[in-house]
Formats: sequence, C-alpha cells, structure tokens
Amino acid sequence: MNFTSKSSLKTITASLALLVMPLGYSQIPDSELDSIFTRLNGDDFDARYEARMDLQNQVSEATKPGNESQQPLVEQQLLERLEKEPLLTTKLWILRQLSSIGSEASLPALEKLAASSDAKLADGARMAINRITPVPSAEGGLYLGFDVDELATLASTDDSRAVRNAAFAKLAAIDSRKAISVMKEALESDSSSSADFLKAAMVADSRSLNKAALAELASGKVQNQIVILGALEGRASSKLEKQLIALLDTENETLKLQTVEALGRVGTVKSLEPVLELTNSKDRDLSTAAADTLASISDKRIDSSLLKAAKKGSVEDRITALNALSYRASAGVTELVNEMAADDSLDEDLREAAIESMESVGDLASLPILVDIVVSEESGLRKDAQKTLKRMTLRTNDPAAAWNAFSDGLKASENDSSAKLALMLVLDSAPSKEAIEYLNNEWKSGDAEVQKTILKVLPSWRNWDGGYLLLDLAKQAGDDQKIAGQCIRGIGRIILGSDSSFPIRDKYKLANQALDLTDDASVRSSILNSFRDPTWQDKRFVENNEVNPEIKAKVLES
Amino acid sequence: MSSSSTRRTFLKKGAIAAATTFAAPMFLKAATLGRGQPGPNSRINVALIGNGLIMNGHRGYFRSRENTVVAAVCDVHQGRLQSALDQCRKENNACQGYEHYEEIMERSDIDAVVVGTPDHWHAALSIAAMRAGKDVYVEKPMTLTIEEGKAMVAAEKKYGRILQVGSQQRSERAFHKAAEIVRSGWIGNVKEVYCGLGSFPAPTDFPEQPVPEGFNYDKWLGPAPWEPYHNERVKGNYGGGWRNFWEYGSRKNGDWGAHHYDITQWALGMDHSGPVFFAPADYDQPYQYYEYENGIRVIRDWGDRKGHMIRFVGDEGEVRVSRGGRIDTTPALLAGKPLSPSDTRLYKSRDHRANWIEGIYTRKHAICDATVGHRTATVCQLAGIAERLNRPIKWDPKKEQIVGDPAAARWQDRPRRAGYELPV
Repeated sequence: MNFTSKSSLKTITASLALLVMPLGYSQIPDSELDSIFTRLNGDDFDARYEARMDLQNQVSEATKPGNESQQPLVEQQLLERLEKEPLLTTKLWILRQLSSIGSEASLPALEKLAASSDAKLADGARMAINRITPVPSAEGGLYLGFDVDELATLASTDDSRAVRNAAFAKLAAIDSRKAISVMKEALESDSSSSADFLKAAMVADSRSLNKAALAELASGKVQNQIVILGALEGRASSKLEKQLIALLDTENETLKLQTVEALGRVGTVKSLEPVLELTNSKDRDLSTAAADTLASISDKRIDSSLLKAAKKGSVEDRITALNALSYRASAGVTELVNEMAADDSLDEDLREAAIESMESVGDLASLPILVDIVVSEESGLRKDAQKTLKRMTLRTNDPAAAWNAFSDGLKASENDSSAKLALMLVLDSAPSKEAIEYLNNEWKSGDAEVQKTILKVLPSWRNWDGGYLLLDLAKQAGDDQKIAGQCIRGIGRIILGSDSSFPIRDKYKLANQALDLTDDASVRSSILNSFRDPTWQDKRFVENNEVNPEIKAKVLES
Repeated sequence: MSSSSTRRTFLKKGAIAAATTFAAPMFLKAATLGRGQPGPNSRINVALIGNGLIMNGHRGYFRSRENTVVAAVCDVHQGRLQSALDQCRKENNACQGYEHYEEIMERSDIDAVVVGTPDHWHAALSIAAMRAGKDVYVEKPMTLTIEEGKAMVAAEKKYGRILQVGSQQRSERAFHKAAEIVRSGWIGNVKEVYCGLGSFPAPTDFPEQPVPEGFNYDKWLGPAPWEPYHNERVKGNYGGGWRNFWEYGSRKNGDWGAHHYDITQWALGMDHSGPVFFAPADYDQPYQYYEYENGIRVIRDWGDRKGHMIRFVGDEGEVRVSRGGRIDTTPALLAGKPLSPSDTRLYKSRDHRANWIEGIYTRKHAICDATVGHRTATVCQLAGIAERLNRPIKWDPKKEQIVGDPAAARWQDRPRRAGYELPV
C-alpha cells in the first residue's frame, strides 16, 4: 500500500491545526499523563495494565460526543508521546489509542511508523491507519461485471462448490429464468450442486424460482425432497397439504419426520387422522414429532372433531381422541379429563387415560379428584392416581393446594388403613409444613405399617423438611439402631436426590448431624456416598466453610 | 403431551442406520451433497480446529457418532495437536493433524469444520471454511466484532452453508420452554429480564516469557494485536486465561452473555433485531443494562434472580430458568402447561450438535444460525463497547449502526494484523 498517497491536503491542514491548538484544561493533565507513562514503563505489571486502562479511559472521555474540542488535543498528546516512548509495548498501546481517537492529522506520523523496520511497530501503525481510514471491503465486488451467461457457466462448471453456489445465488437474484434453467440442468445431471441450488431457489425472492424448486417435491427423489422440506419453513402453503400427506408413506425416516413437521405448519383437519396414527409410532422421534404437529395445527375444526370423538364411540377411539386433545391443550380438555377421571361409571381404561392426561393438562381441581381415586379405588386406578399425583404436583408446584386435597382424603380414610397408607405413600406430592406435622404425629402412633410408609415417603421429600423430620425420628429412636439406621439412610437418599433448589447449607448441616448420630460404618457410608457426585458449588462450599472432614474429603476426592 | 419429550435422536441412530433399516437408497450421501469424495461409509468427515478446553467435549461427541468421522484435527500447539490426533486415530487411523488450518480448507473430502479456538479467530476460520464449501459449527460467541458478524451472515448466505453457533442453551428443554412461555404472552408484557453473567478478574499485563517450543504463538495471535507471550494470556481456562482479555474474547459479556442474552433475544422475538440502548454499570444505575425499543430492560448481575440464571418479569407473571432443566414460573402452573395451537412454537432441538449434523444432511438451517449468532454477539459486543468506553451507546438495529457517536462506532470492528485479514 502507498501510504503517502493518503497524505492529502486535508491531512496536512488537520496536522497544522493540531500544532496551533491552544493547550487548555481539556487535554490530559501533564501530571496524569506522566503517571500513566511512568507506570506503563515500570516493572509492576498490574500497574502497567491499570495505566493502560487509565489511558484508554482518558481517550474514551475525549471521544465522547460533545467533547469534540478535546479530541485533537489528546490526539496531539498521544502523537508526542508516541515519538518519545522507548518501550515497544508502550508505543503499541499508544497506537491502539490513536486507532480510537486518531484523525487524519495522525496519518503522517503513522505512515512514517508503518515504514519502520520494526515489523511489530509497522504493523501496529498500519492497523491504526486502517481503523482511521478503513479499507473498503471487497465484498461488493463479488462477480461484479459478470453477465448472466458468465454466472450461469460459473454456477454449472466451476470446480469449487462454494463458487458454484455463490454464482447461482447471484444469478438467482438477477435472472430467475436463467437460474431455473441452470437448476434444472443440475437436477437432471444429478450434479453435486443440486441440493445447494434447490435450497437457494427455495429461499430466493423470486416466486417463479420458488415454484420451480417446489415442483421437485413431486420428483420422488428423496434427497431433493428432504432439501425442499428443510427450506420450506414459513413458505409453506396449505395447498401442499395433500402432497405432504402422500409423502408420509415414504420409507425414509428423515423425510417422514420433515413431512410431519411441515404438516404442523400447513395442516388442517385433513391431516388429523394420518398424524394421529403416527403418534402411536414405535419410533419415538416420529411419535414425538407427530404429537408436536398435532399440537401445532391451527385449524380449530380439529378440536371440535376430537371433543366429539372423546365423548362418543369405542373406548379405543375415545382414548385416542383424549390423548390428542391433551397434546393440543384444547379449550375444555381440562374440564373433560377431570370429569372423566371422576366418573366411576366409565370404562376403567378410559378413566386411566383421563388420569394420565392430567399430568399435562390437569389443574388444581384435578388434585382432590386424584386423592379421591386413591382413597376409593383399590384397582389399578389407585396406582395410576398415585403416579399422576406425584408427577402432576411437580408441575403445579403448589404444596398448600396439594395439602388441602390430601388433608381431606386423609380425614376420609381415617377408618381405612389401606387407603390412608396409599395416600401417605405419595404425600411427598404435598411437601408442606402441615404434611410434615401430620407424618410426625402419625409416627408417634407406633403403628409399624404407618412407620414403614413414613420411612418410604420421607426420602423422596422435595425439600429439607423431610430430612429434618428423619433426623428427629432417628434421634427419637434411641436404642433402636434399626430404625435410626433407616432414618439416616433416608437422609442419605434425600441428599442424593436433592438439586440446586435445596439450600446447600442445610445439606451439610443435615449430613453432619446425621453422622453425629451413628458409629455404624455402613450407615455412615450411606451419608458419605450421597456426596459422590458433587457439583462445583459443593466443592466451593466445602473449601470455604467448616464442614465435617469426612464429607469434605468425599466431596474433594470426586 | 409429555413434558419430557425426547430429543431428536437423529445422530444416535444415525442417518445410515435409518437408511439401511429400509430398502430405500441412502438418503443423502456426502457425495450427493457435493463434498467430493464421501467419507468412509458416507459418513460426514469433520475437522476440529482448536483442540483446547472446549473442544474436548466436541471431540468426544463427534468421535462417538455413527455418522461422523473426525478426519482432521488442527492446533497451533503441537502437544495438543498430538494428543487430539492420538485420540481420534483410535476410531480413524487416517485422521490427519495440521498446524495450519489452511491445509484443511484445501481438503475436498472434509465436509464440515468445528471451530473451537478463542473468539478472535472465530470469524476468519468460519468464513474460510464456508468459502471452501464446508459447513461450520463455531463456538460462541460467534464473533469478536459486529462487522465480523455481518460478514459471517453474508458468507453463510453466499456459500449456502449450514452454520451452527455453540449457544447450546437453545437446545435445552427448559430454556426452550421458557422462551415459548414468554413468546406466547403467558406472563403478559415483559418488563425486565435479569441475567447472571458473573465476572472475571481484572485483566493484567504480564512480563514476557519465552514462547514454548512447539507453540506457534504468532498464529495463535492471528488477527489480534501483538503482545508479548505469557502463559496466562493464552491459557484455556473457564475462570480466566485468554477469556480475560478483550483482544481475544468479550469477557463475561461474550462468555455467558452469548448464552443468556441469546435466550433473552429468542424469548423476546428479537433474533432479527436487537436492543437500542446500552448502559455501562454506574451510568444512571448501579448495574449494566440494555433496553429494547419497547422499553424492556435487560439487567446484568443485579437484583434477585431467585436462584436462577435468567429471570423474565412480566406484568402478569414470571419465568425463571437455569441449566440442569430447571424452570420455575409464577403462576407455578405455567411451567408444565402445554402449548395450545394458538401459542408460539419455537424451533425445537434437543441436541445442539445433532441439530447441526441434521442440517448438514437436510440443508435445513440450524437452530442457532449465523443471523441468530450475529444478533446475539452484537448484543454482547455492544455491552462490551459501552463498558470499555464507559458511556452509554445508542444502537440502530435496522441499520446495524451505533448512532450519534462516531468514535464508538469505530469499535464495531477492529484492525487486523497483516496476513490475517478477514476472508470474504
């Protein structure tokens, strides 16, 4: 590059202007500047960096909008220092500041340095020049001056795939007809650019080009169909629905998945049956994609059709319809599943499906229904309801509402020990203070079955209250080592299952207190082993807090 | 619908497995897509550039998939290069090692490239790879400057490549759900977003050390300004190392910002736009923030995130979300509520790398393509410019230009050392 050519009359004028500029308060004060450069040249490297930042801040202040009069003064100060400073690193830092604040007035000095024999200094100067007077990008010149035929030739015959693609994209922008012809040739000859051209045609602004590419969907060539569907996105129209439904018969999994996804965007009630069928596919990717699609189709006729089907017809069809309604979270589905789950006159399979649907579409009104099923049913529905209570309450995350439902159920099952135990077994679904108090009182009854159930449910508790109750129960066990051991093992399990929503400090407090209660090596190891997968927070905690040395060692060894 | 819907197991089962299950022809051979000679069994030949800390996970992943073969590794550090090569040769004895990435670009049998270098090399390597007809997975943040981002977007389009940026939270269920909740308006109009990015120690200067044997420091620096070598400057370390320096990264704005600001952009529907105002800490508030035109303020490392990485606050509710699948909402029911057909569904991916490989076969754009990566990186970089200049920045997201501050506008790009110009 010929740097001297940049020294225009404007530059010279700007340089002269700098020389006659009066030095006022708006330049960097000499004392500050001296401090910065003393530190920049010192041996304290932290201080050097601070000095770099101080200088950068001064430059930043001078380039602030409204500080225009300050800018040339600071620029001049930097130019003076640039000449004087002995250290290469200092000079380079000044050059970087000049790249931020410099004007054409800096160019003569920079150009001189750019010719320096010191390559690092020369490069630093050149970089500053490039920032002050950016070099235009070569981007705009790509294939500039190429005519349509030249672009078509390049797109068809160049050795580089990237060049062929870029030429095609350019051609597509200026002559869609010619681009269509080039694309068709590529498709006919099965050129390695077919996929690129199809994609470019699909996303081009030209409708005729889009149409020509879409027509290839009927070609039967799987690889082309995949590329077209991949590029379809928001460009899909419901006119394609019939063609897409036909494509669902493909044996190619990828194409089938893409077709299902595309139907989610363009499908109507016509897609309901084929997509619904795929929700039962053994291929989990496909069944998930079909469920997503079913949930995405905006045609409201689907909901009314499904609601009708869920209320009448064979049990199998009703279950399918109910599942589909749940995927779609259709208006009215929550009320429907609550109603069906509660209706003991209905077929058990249908109620089971309704209970399962509650996991995704149930609401707080579902809780007493589920509790009632646990209390009143001894069939398989009890287990279904227990499972759904545990899962659904993770979603509803309202322990008070859950406890209200459980409280009523527990009262109702006062004289039915089987029902009561069945409810107690999933009481971790309502992890409230009241539930803990209830379990504590029940423990005191001394009933072995009740105590066994409590020891089963507490290790799954969703907060530390379960752990603290286990600790109390272990203390109360006194000489009964078996019970105490079971309680402490339960604490180990709750620690193992805890996540970041459990305050970390309590974890160590609880573990420490549990270890204090026993000398039994196997029981102690159940606590220590619960720290076998520590997180970085655990490691940080044990390093910065007073922690039982055995626990600390376990955390740090992992 | 089950809230634990499966991730797309595309890669696990593999395209080949899918094709051979049926009598149908191989659904897309590498050769069909014009990558020269197909890899062994038509698998995708991947090259890994920059085999430091972050590449460990990628290397393990691409070595273990049925439809990818690590055909080349590249590093300017001979020790790392040899170690990566030794690992990759366990599956593919033909894997080659290179100090110079340019040699990988010349290999027509390489289909795709993973860029795991420090940030200052991301754009140059990605554009060079796309220009050579290769698809690209580039670590986050996609770029070091805004102008590099524009060049990446142009290259992706011009060369028709599939590019994935490693902001992988988009492929995590909880973040996806959080974004859909916000986009569907379930928490009303969003007012504020709180993001936890954390902080690096202040950078420092170092005395010059001799460059270790087998380490091409000049190439490591690449486009970045020359500085004397010191181990701490080049070290790969999540707590600092090169990440500490503005010359090679965007500090926490780009480190965690490329994740949390990315999710914020997604959730607010701003993937093709961006904020309009960036304020450094202590400008008019004790915290760093940026704002969108509609007044939504995104606040960094300040306020109560209630134990989460990101907290969206709307006038009708909240979403709080973190890694590890953690999502909490107010009202609580929102977290598990299924979307109805009228709600906003966002691009779904459950495995970020698999999503890229799927795109290589299908040519469908990846979940975090160049435009997404560029707009997110722009947010990270503008926050960084405001921080370095210690003044607020106004941004025009349509023109993609800093407004009313010509000196700040210079920071939209950086000068590059001779021989390391940005490819086009």
